[in-house]
Amino acid sequence: MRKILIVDDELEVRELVEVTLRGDTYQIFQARDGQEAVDIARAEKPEIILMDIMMPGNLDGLEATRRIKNDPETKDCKVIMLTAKGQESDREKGLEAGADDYFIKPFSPLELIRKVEEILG
Amino acid sequence: MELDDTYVSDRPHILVVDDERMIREILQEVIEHAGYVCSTAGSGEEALLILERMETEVVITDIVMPDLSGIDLLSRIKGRYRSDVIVITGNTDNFNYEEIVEKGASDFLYKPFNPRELVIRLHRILRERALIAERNKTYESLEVTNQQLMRYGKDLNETILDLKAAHQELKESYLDTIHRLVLAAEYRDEDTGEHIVRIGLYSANLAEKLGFPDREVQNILYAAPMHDVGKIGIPDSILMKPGKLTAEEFETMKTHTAIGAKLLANSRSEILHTAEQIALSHHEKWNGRGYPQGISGREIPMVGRIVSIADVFDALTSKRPYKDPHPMEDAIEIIERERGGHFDPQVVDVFLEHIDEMLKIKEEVNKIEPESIIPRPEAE
Repeated sequence: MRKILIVDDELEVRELVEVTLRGDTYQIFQARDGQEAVDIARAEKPEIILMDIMMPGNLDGLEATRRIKNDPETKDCKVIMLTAKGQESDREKGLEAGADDYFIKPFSPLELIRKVEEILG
Repeated sequence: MELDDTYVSDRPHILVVDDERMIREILQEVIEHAGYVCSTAGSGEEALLILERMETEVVITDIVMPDLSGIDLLSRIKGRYRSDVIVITGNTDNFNYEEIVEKGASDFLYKPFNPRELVIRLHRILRERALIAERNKTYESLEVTNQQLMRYGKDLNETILDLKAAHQELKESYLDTIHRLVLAAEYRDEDTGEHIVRIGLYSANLAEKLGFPDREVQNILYAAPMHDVGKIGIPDSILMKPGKLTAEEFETMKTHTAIGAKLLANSRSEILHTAEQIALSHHEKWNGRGYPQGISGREIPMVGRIVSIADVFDALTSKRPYKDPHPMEDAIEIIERERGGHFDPQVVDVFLEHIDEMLKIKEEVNKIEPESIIPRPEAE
């Protein structure tokens, strides 16, 4: 099964994204912060990582993305950022950090599903 | 006083405004001792400068000061900053409570006061601010959630509209396919596809008048035109024979009912299931003298009894290459005469009761351009 990792500090957002993508085609993992995201990325090698940028802790979404993209083990994971509205500057930073695409919250579930299907072919 | 613009602290910042230096110093000491960051200003103007440069949770101000009074300062603060303001008043000061409350002061203190009382009031105000901040944060989070929910609603709506359109398109192509299948079956036999359109409309109209639910009326509308698809299995020599059929040929001809039912059998489609029943039973007669099974009365499925009368009426009133149509009066008379013989009496009654509608259907179908009904190749 294709693997997807959802990274967000808010449980509600993780659950929402998970039910949006749930089906019998994807195996979905959740991470609550940047460190957990890096760990799960290394262990599971998901094809897609949906990464919130603003997260508490010493590893935010940007730093987590940078580490995942700099690690030869995980650099092929596609990272899609989820940035809050009004934090458009995060987008630039995220792309610089190596993110492949971005969504601005509130995100469109249809677009998210299409994007995931597009990446996974 | 010196201020560092970049100074950031988690501790609340309190600003004391008084023209008397002694009072400023005493208050500052008490406030700092209570664990807060404290700035002081000797005038309203100076206070405004500090407010502009530093996030300030609470301003404690005297009323009577040269130049900008405490009341004026209060008005200026409330128009621009989110700070709470505690006003310190002397007994002799010329003020009125209503005015101060209206301008937004959070609390009063009378001179002279116990500095510990000031600290208690500061605590209370800061606790309220924390609660309000928490509430606002909850609101903001709810607002974000709500916006996301709105987005889901919008996408759900879009998805449903897409599905409906796709379903409609699928249904249309399905009905179109049925129509073409029927045309294929009738191709050798009929002049136009008008017959099959009329049979559908007559039968659906009758079913509606007999009290069938809408869904079944629709099924009959699309299923009745398939009543003769079994003719596809009848040899040309019989189907297209100009003269009268021999007894043997007629026996073969009769098999179009069972052939049709077989072609339409075992479908999951309600329409095709209804069509199967119709194909098999539309030549049965109320008196049991029909075919292929020779069943009678209520043994014959209702849809068969309905299509039977529609089929005969249409045959009687349509022009064929080898015959002119019967006059309408004759057709009606024949049907009346077969009440309880060939036809179910109840269906005959309903049919005759609504004969005007049947004639209207006939007229309407005649108006349709033949090309839109039957895609026949150009005659050679």
